[in-house]
Amino acid sequence: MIRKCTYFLMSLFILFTSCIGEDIINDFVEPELRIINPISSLPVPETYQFNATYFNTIGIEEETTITWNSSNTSSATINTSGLLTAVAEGTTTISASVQNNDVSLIESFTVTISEDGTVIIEEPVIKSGTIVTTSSYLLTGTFTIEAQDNSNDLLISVNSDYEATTSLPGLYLYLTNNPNSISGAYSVGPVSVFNGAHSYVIPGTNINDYTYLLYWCQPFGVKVGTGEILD
Amino acid sequence: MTIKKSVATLAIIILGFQFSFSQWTKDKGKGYYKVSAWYLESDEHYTDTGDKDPNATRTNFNFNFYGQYGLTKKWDLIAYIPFFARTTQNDAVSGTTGQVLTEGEAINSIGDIDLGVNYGIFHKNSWALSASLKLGLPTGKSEGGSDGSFQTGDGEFNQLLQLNLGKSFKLYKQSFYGKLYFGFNNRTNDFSDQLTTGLELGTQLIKDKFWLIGRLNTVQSLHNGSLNAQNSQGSIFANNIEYVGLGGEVSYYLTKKLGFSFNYASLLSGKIIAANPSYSIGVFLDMK
Repeated sequence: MIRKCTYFLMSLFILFTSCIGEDIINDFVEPELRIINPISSLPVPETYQFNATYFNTIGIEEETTITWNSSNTSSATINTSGLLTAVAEGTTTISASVQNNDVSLIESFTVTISEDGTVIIEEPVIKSGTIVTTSSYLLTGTFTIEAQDNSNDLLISVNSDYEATTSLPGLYLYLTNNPNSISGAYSVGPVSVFNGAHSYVIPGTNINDYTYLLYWCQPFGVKVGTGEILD
Repeated sequence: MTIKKSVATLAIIILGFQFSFSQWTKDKGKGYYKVSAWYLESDEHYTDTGDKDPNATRTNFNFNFYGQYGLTKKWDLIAYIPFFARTTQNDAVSGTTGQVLTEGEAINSIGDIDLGVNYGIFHKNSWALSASLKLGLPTGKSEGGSDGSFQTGDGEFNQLLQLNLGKSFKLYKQSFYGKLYFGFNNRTNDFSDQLTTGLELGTQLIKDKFWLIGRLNTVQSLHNGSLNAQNSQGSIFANNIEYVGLGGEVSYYLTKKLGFSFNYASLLSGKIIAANPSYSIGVFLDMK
């Protein structure tokens, strides 16, 4: 009898210490081609290097061939790597496109070529958004994101209307392009302020690099809230 | 889930279940010993509002020994030793691409050991009153894994003082026992103290062979601990856990001394605790 009981307990041990399972995450987002550093004006004979990034169906940056085109090559030309050269006064529509097997994306914008003047950066200097809970934990507030002068840093300012529960263990903040996943996200760090205004400095980050703030409970492995970053 | 602290708490629930009949102390030299496998798979938890939210699936498993030994007619020694505890978290797999987004993890260690005594205050006719003191030793791993949240223990020293009142009775020729308990759990490391209450009802469906036991228990936080996310930056520990638990057990004696039991524990409500039921299967030796 004792031997049978031992076999029984050993069987349980083997059963419950076997392999790790899988959780399937619903993490689809629409793929996106994003011009990271658009401009609206460029003087002759300056050049300007555009940077564009392709984010795949789970919001992760993916290497792919980006095709650049200028609609008016007598005013400006653009090479295969996105280097724009101002040739003569006029306007041109610059387009970047991606053509994969099942993805076709194009982003276009107009650039004015002037005989004199300066480069006009089109990107917003400040973006903002609203933090909303996606769980039953309290999390609310508004924020702004600001590109810092003379550096590549970003300043995230969470406003005084911010409030979060202190009951939740291991709350972390991420910058991400997928509100359902921290895969490929930038970890800002553990949340240590749960009420009122506070800020984070994010080094070496462009204001167009991410589209969401994501509040994530690390021990539970689940999102708690998001804030879409809007122009 | 743990899930963190809450798993440790569920383990305490299980320990509470081991204390069946504990209002009746063992006679000197008698004992009850059980080796069990306990399992919890949790993919949702009760939040601080009492609602259920999903979480990454974690499993908690332990092999534990429970023993109750009669030192004298009135004093029992009790011990709960989870000598092997394992916590795992599932791989997070993209439903879009099928790629593994976050690798799962597994941590093995010993769990938190509970040692205690049970003192029979009186035993007259069908009534019995006893007091038990249980010390929860932080022998388990309070941090582990890549983010520190893989726990096999809660990292703090519990002291649970409990009064157990029991009565055996017959109803329609069927033998029953009922038990009420009330306890105070003094906790350290800035965790809030807790009040525990419980009600247990058991009956012998087959005399000296087959027991059926039902249990209802609660844990209430006194909210007197200062630990929260604000003063423990990034801490994985949750404080002020509360719940109302409902469970049951069947025990079957294969021989006069040897038997096996199956335990089921679930929560009717809770705060900051795993919401899924746990199971335990054990083999016991009842030295009457």
